[in-house]
Amino acid sequence: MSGQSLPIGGVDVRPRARTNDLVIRELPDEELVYDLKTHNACCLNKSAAMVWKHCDGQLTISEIQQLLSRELHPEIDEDWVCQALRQLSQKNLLEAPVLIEKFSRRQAMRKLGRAAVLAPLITAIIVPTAQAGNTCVGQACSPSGINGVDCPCTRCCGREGSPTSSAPRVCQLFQALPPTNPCNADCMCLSDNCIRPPDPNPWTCA
Amino acid sequence: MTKTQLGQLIARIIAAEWHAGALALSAEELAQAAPLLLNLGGAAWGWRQIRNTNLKDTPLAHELQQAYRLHTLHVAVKEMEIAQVFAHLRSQGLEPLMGKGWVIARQYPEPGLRPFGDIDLYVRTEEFARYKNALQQPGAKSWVVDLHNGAAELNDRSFDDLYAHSRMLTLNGVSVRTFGLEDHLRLLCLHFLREGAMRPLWLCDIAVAVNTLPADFDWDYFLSADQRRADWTICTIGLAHHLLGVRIEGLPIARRAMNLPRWLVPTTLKVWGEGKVPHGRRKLMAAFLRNPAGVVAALRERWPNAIEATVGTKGPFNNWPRLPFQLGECILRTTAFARQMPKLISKSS
Repeated sequence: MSGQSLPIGGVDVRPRARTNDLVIRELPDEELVYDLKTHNACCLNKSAAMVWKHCDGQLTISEIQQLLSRELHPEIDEDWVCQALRQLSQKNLLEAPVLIEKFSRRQAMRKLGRAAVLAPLITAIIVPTAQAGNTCVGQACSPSGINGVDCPCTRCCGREGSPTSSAPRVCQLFQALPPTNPCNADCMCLSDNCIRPPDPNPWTCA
Repeated sequence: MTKTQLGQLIARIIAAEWHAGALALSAEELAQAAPLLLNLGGAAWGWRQIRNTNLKDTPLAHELQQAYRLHTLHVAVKEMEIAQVFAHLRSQGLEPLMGKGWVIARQYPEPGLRPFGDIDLYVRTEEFARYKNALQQPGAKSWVVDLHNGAAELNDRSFDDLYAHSRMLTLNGVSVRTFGLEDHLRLLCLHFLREGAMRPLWLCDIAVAVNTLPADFDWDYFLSADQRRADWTICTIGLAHHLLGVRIEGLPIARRAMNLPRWLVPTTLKVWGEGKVPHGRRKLMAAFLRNPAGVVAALRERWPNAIEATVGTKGPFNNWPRLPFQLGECILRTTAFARQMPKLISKSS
């Protein structure tokens, strides 16, 4: 994402969806996005996904609003589009964030009237209680013990960005671990691959 | 609810895919099953089964749905990795066989229903070092490859045979070589047994595979080579029929598959109800050399169930008691561990 922010309100504001380093999966009623840089995953409801799709760097906010009022609901106005753009900006899904005057969600819903049921919504994908299958992603963790990892949900514990960065340790989807650490489905080893010594020992970074 | 009842509940939820009519599940039952589904990788599949029921808006259902979303993305990321791995290895003249993981996930109604973490590659023993080197090169280290030195479960067949029956799939424009359908179903069955039936999703794999068998599936080849293993695989398919309701009527193995040893179903249900950590995620036994606290619990956790014990000792699937096999498996494991002791001690000191 470039550092330049686009101001809101001018006719020249033409938001552009970010496409690099994103993995996108379309589902029937929503769109899932995984950011390969930050390892954040989020879910765009149908409305937010439609706004995002129209952010081609060519259309102005007003033009996006006109398109959506035809495609989605006639009462959709620019505030509705701005609500979506604000969320898209927050999730780093635009090339340049669109600066939007703050207004509460309640205010926005009131303004949206009947179109409120179609409110754009982007939610983070987090599974709070699961203990496997990448499900403690984002939780704070600390390295300890003989195995070198102590993730609250037995997953790998690492830093955002690279393993050597100074960011706080959190459980991650994709993880780099030094040799001799136990590794599993979602860990990567720094030096080699995840191998399995003779039973009964588990997979280990070698 | 006993562990067996809990296992039955998990089986009922998974099996809903193959049963007519909506899944009838109470909120209490969902509360019991959801943690296990989440723990054992079956959350996305669980979501698929309840998303058309009146439980779909409950907080627990929401958790399952979130897991489904996360797995969907995870699989997409892994697909990119798999294509990169194959392109990289092929550029070095290497052609591995891929199994499990994505190979079976793609047979599910949606790939995100079947999460997987590593990329299982099976290579000839004589080429293992070349593969290892190729995967240690810069740029390749970030891939989570589980490189198998040979194909242990299928080692009653030659690698030439495995290659001869292999098939090519296309992923992101890259050809990916995988086991033939017969070998792959066999691999799934034997892996499920060897791992002690720990994950319901592994039996679900077998159910999905059987459910999508083509008309020209070569049963003679599937049942060839080691006859004991062939019998184990038939019983595993029978288990998928018994617990998940997969239709096997008319298949050449149906008669034997419907006549399972009496310990197989109860053992599987109990294992599922226990929600034990699969082998690969347990703390290393070597870790207890330095700090013995918890060693008793770890040993108890390692007591082999009837399935893994029978397969581990190459025993028959009959109605005889399983205790001798369990004891035999313990002796085998302890011997293997004892052989490694000098190395482990020098490593930990």
